[in-house]
Amino acid sequence: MNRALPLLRTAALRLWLPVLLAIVWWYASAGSQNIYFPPLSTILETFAADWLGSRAATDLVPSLGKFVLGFLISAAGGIALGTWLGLSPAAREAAEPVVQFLRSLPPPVLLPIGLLLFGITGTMNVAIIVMGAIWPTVLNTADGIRSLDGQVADMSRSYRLTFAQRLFSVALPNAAPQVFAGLRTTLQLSIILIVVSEMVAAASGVGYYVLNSQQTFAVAQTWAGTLVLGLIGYLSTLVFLAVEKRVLNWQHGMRRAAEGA
Amino acid sequence: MTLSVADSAPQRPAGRRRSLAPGLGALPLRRLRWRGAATVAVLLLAWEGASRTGLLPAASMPPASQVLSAWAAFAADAAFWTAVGYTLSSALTGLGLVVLVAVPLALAIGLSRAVRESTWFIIEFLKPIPPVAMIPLGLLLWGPSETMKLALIAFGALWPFLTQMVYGIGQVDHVALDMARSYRLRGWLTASRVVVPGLLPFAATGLRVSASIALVVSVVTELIGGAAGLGREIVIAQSAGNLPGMYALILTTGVLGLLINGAFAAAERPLLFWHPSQRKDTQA
Repeated sequence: MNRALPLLRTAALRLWLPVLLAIVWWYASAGSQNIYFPPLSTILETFAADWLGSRAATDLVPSLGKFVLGFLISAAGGIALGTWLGLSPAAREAAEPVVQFLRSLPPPVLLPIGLLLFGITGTMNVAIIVMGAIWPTVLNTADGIRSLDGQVADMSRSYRLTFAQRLFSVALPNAAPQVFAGLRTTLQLSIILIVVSEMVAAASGVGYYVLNSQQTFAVAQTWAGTLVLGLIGYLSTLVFLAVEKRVLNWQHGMRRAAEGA
Repeated sequence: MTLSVADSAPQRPAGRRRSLAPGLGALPLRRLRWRGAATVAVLLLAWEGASRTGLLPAASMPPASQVLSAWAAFAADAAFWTAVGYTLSSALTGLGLVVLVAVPLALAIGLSRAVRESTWFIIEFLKPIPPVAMIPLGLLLWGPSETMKLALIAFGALWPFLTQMVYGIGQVDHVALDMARSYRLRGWLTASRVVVPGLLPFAATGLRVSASIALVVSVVTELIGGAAGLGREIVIAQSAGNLPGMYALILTTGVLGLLINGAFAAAERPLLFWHPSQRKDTQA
């Protein structure tokens, strides 16, 4: 009789455990003398003092800027390269062993190479992201472009669509869901790489802050920094999913229609 | 159903596997044709030439021939194989931990709505946290030890397998389950003939993705955390100025990545020969 009730129950079911855990953490750690587990209140105070204050501009914004720039370059480059590989079987065959190898390489091992080539610079951080995170988007785009149904491809040709029309109105929209699956992996790798590259080679940034805190036994700072990194990972995924939902809206509509039919 | 997306929509494992190993799930080397081999040869020659002529600074990129001979020298080096062993055994042990944790967790989440809703927020919050973010915390708690490595590998590699298992449990064929019940199959027969085969494709996909993440986290904890293994050897070679060795070690991690992915993909074939995702190749 009341529609709000099930919704409320779901909300309550989803919230009780996180809230309980937070409360348990708060009280169990209150007045903790264990140097590894400082009180949650101390962690939150450190978090607020460092990350809502002075460090937001000096460390957080540059880190985020490099991360977003690296991701966008990887995304654009990955889609372009993937489209080319998807359209040309010869290029695909030629590039396959190299692309497969680079995809299998654990991306953080590129770090020493980036350091040697670019030194400790912002360019290095961005270059590392692009070198390491571009491959899932390349492979998924190529696969998505290839997966175009033969009838659709013939149809678009017999309607004499130009190459640009075929690419942007037929092939790329068809590949979009797979492109987004690739972009999501690229996003996760971008975060990993900005953090790792700042940990190893930077004098500022969130990654540097966390590892440096650990090395100087600033325990509350280590916890607070881990919290920041976790939040960056969580929030960027939320933004990405919102964008994906918007862009792929027509896809979901079509799937619903297909399932309903 | 003209667009392939509509075709692949109902069976997510096929979509997922494509997302990480697009269409090339099988042993990649088998597909190495002359064009591919030619590209590799041309790249190696270009690398060699660029480095010898100074186009690439030799101080940061030694010629390919030096790297390859350093690699050949490693093959006879016991310390190298020990490092490979550390990296691989941590990754695989971590993967074992993932299975031990994820299977009961996935069953609880998949079978009980209360558990699913209660853990939803925590899992959705933890999933996107980059495992490297946990390295400083891991170092603080355990130091550069095997425990630290395994904890971080398990944390990082848990999610793909867990997500696939939960999804798979939701997808177990209800018609087949009802059929099993009306044929009065006993619990064991239902489990082995209906539930396990239904879950297997999801488990295989999740495990393969988790395995490659386990390798990445294993190497990173060595690279940054200083635990024993290939990652630490890379740092040591770099600080000793042994660049050919450093590049050879980096190439080694790539080969390990290829082998792990190839091994899991190869294991899927005989296990899942009956599944539509494996038949696709012959239809096309």
